[in-house]
Amino acid sequence: MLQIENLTKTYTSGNRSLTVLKNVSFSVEDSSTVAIVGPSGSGKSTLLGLCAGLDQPTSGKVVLEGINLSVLSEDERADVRNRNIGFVFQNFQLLPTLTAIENVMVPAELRGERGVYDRAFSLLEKTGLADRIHHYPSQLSGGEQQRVALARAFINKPKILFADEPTGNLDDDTSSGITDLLFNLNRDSGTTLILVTHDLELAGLTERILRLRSGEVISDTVNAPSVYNNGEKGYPA
Amino acid sequence: MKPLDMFIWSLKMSGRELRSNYSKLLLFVSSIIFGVAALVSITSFGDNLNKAIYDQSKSLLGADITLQAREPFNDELLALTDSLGGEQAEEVRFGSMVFLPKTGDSRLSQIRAMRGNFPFYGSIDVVPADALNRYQNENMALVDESLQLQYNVQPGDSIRIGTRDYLIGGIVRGVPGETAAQGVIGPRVFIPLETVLGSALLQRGSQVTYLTHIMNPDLNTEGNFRDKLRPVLERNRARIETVESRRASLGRSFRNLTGFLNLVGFIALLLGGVGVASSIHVYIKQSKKSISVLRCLGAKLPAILFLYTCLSLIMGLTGAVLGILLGGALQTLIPAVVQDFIPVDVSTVLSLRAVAYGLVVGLIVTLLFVWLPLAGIRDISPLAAIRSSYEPATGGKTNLLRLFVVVLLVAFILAFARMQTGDWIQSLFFTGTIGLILALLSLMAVLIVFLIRKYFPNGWSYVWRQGLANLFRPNNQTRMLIMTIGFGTFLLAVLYLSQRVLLDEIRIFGTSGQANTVLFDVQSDQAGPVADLIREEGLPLIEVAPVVTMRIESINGRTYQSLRQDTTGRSSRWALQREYRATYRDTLNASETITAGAWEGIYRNDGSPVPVSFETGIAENLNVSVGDTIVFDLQGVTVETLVASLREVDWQNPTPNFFLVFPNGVLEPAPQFMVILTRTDSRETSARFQQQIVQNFPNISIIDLDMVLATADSILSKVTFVVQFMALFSVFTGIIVLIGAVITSRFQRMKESILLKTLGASRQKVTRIMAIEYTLLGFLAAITGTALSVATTWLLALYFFEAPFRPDLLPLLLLVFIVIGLTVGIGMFSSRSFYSQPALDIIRSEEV
Ligand SMILES: Nc1ncnc2c1ncn2[C@@H]1O[C@H](COP(=O)(O)OP(=O)(O)O)[C@@H](O)[C@H]1O
Ligand SMILES: [Mg+2]
Repeated sequence: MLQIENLTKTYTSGNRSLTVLKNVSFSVEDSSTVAIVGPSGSGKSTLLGLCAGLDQPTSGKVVLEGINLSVLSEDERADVRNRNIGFVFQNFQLLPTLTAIENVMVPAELRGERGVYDRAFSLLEKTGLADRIHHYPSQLSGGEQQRVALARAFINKPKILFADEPTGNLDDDTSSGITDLLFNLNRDSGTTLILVTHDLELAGLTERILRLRSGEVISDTVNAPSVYNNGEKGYPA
Repeated sequence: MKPLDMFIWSLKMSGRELRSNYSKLLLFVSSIIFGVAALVSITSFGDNLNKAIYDQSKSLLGADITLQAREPFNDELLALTDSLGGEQAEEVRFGSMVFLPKTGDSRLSQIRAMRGNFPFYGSIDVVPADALNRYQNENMALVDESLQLQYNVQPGDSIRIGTRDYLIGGIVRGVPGETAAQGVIGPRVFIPLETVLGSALLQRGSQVTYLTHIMNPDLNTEGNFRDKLRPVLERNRARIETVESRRASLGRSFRNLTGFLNLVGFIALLLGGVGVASSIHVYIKQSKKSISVLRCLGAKLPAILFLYTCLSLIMGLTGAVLGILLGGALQTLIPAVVQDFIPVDVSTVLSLRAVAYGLVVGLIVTLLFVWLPLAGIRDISPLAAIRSSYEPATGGKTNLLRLFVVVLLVAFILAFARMQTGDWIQSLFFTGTIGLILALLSLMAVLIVFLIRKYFPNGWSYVWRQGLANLFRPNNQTRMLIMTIGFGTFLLAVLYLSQRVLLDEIRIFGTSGQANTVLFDVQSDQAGPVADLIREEGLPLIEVAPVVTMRIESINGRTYQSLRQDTTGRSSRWALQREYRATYRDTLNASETITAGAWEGIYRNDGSPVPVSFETGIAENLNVSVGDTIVFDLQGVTVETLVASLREVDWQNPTPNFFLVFPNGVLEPAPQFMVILTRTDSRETSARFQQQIVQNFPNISIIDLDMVLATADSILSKVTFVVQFMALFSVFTGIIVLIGAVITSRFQRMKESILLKTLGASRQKVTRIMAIEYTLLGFLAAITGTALSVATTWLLALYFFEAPFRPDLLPLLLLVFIVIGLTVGIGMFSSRSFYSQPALDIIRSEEV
């Protein structure tokens, strides 16, 4: 369960201030899928960052799995993230000095867990990279890197997965592969998915769509994810 | 994460980082190798030296106790020696010309007239060995090896000392407790005491020292043994040395040497620290994305700090271990280089303390310098993982962590300097200078950027404008490069310049067409005939100065005795106790300037105190100033004097210089001898002249200044070599830091250059833009560093060395050019790869 209440974010630099998010409120049920869509610069990433506790809001609060993030310190929020959240980024963001499987293991290792190799391996197997586990990110294509990132996102069995433009840096064919994988893994593990995208086609695959413009939620619609299931690709109203 | 988990995780991650980045981190490791090597080798040498002094301290003195005085022992001293018991040996030590009939040469030597079995501990190394037991009975001489080397004399040849001939019984290779260098200055010649007693060689006025060596193992010479004897000794102006005091004074003088060398080595390590800081700085910069991703994934700040600390420690440890190995190898060479001026045999076993020391200091330096950039990790926000275009707003908060690290660093440098110099003032000066120089360099960088922006030459060509603009564009490395390159240049230049100051001080002496031959101990009645002989030989009679020896009886009515006991010690003991060799004349000479009072050249003989002139330094030591009255004892006769003036004396001027000058009209009737100066222009004239003097006036000693200088030079060049050797470590480290700094900035420029290339700039243009940027940076850094070094050395010369400073511009200019050349060279060399690589590859290789 993720609850957002009256979230406002204002950036001030010098004497100019810019309000990027204005009074945003919504909540997301466990195991549901939500897309946040909007044009570039509308505040999607900012919102995602606040939801995941990467940054502090100017006002309002974020309650994640019953924990109020606004009162936690940076390090306490890191801990909450490690336990509850998975991330998929637009630029994959794999650690360049680690091999594929090591990248996948990092979140679990950060918990102090040991013996996570097998778990990481089976996740990589699911993403179809069983034979590439010892390769470095620089030896993998973009699509392959994003698969590793997906495996990494699921290693800690997160309650919520945040995906920021997961296909934004990929070509169409690769994109659909990643999309399939993302939704399949998500369904299998019953994770809540919050997907940020400006791609309405991708957004159409979720159960609910939040539209953002200039930092304000302008619509919140329930969507029939059947669009994905019957293979039609249309833009929901 | 529990601490143990954090540790394991950090180790694991460090291993992964090292696996793929070792080449980037190689600079880090090499940065500290040389500094650690310098420290380890010097510390180990110092330890071994101390150990040797301790182990060999009995043979350093050759006896348990040695008493010495400037006059034959009086009854009180004789009673004292008797009371000390044990086996005793007597020695009379003085300078005299030794004439070698075989070659016709003569040489001022240190004569040691011996009676008894001295040394009791250790042994004089003589060839043939049995000569040591025979020379006293058979009236033979043992002569220094240097005499053999110089004039090829052999056992069986004869030498003449005074009016007496001796057969050479053996060649002295080494005297325990003395250095080879001591023999070069004046070759040692051992003869039986009986042969000189009562001879003209020991007459009043010549510098003679009477010694009694005592071997009595039952005596406990430790603790306050010397204090108990002090009253008797002082009353008779005698001195005592025990094994302990000899050991302590030797230890002190060498601690200064090793302390100084350690500071030089430490500078190399500090320079390496700068290299470590800059390589970690870049590394962190390049790992920024990874760090923010780790934070997204839930890594806490302590874990990340711990990870990079671990990583740095692993590399610091590697560097330190390699440094220790190198230092261990080097320390085996040091004793061979310095053996001529250390009186003991030093072992070359690497001391464990040195190893521990190198390791600890190396790691502390690594940690402290690493934490400067690491403190910045705090400001890396996890947000950077989802958005790259915005610099996180740090809100201008001062980074307290970094401030704390800076404070620690300063404290550490101060503590280290204190440990090496044993003096807070010097340590503060050392630390303050380093801090000030870095601050000034940083200021300079800011100023330069400001000026370039303000007066940007818009009319210049595209390439120049680009090159200049690179100095202030975002991501510029101007400050960092100017600070590192500037600091390196500064250190090297200061080392070079201060070494010149010290060497010049010695070299200036004797270079001009001035006197190079000094005749001592010329009796009053010999002055005329000697002057005639000089003229007959066609040599110039440069100066004749009378010398009268005297001692201080009282100052301002307080007796010598009470002054000495005055524990507040306002007048230094040696200045009170010493024998003054005063001259008298009616004019000042060219090397003297009056700084206080007025010069009086003639004494009117009206019963008032005699107006005398003191040299400023000795006046300071005696704590006297113009107007004070001093009573002197002139071999039994007292003379009351008044300090009429103080003189500054240029000691580099080889006219005989005196601490104390009397006016004409007082000392003329006193027992005295003359110092006569002349100049010989070739080895042959010199040899012939010396031979004439020695044959006609055997009591006269001749100092050949050219020879003294040559020897001093050869000893000094060995000292210089050691210092330069240590400085070389700084040079190596400096070059590594330079490479590091330039490679660092290369990453910043790489993308831009490729973009320029992609946008159609020719390769030549891109190269030229970069060359201009590096030339400017190298130039600014080198000029600033050099200018600061000149200022610092000037201050050092003024207040510390107290020597004139005449900087040689040419080598400095050369240094500036070398630094610029290296900067540009390394910069261009390390950038060459991205001409050969396709532009696309580099644009895609994100993590820049
Ligand atoms: N640190 C910052 N300082 C000032 N403005 C910012 C900062 N971060 C983001 N912004 C502004 O916030 C707006 C929203 O950015 P973002 O959330 O990245 O948009 P989106 O992800 O929807 O493209 C943008 O207009 C951007 O200019
Ligand atoms: Mg975005």
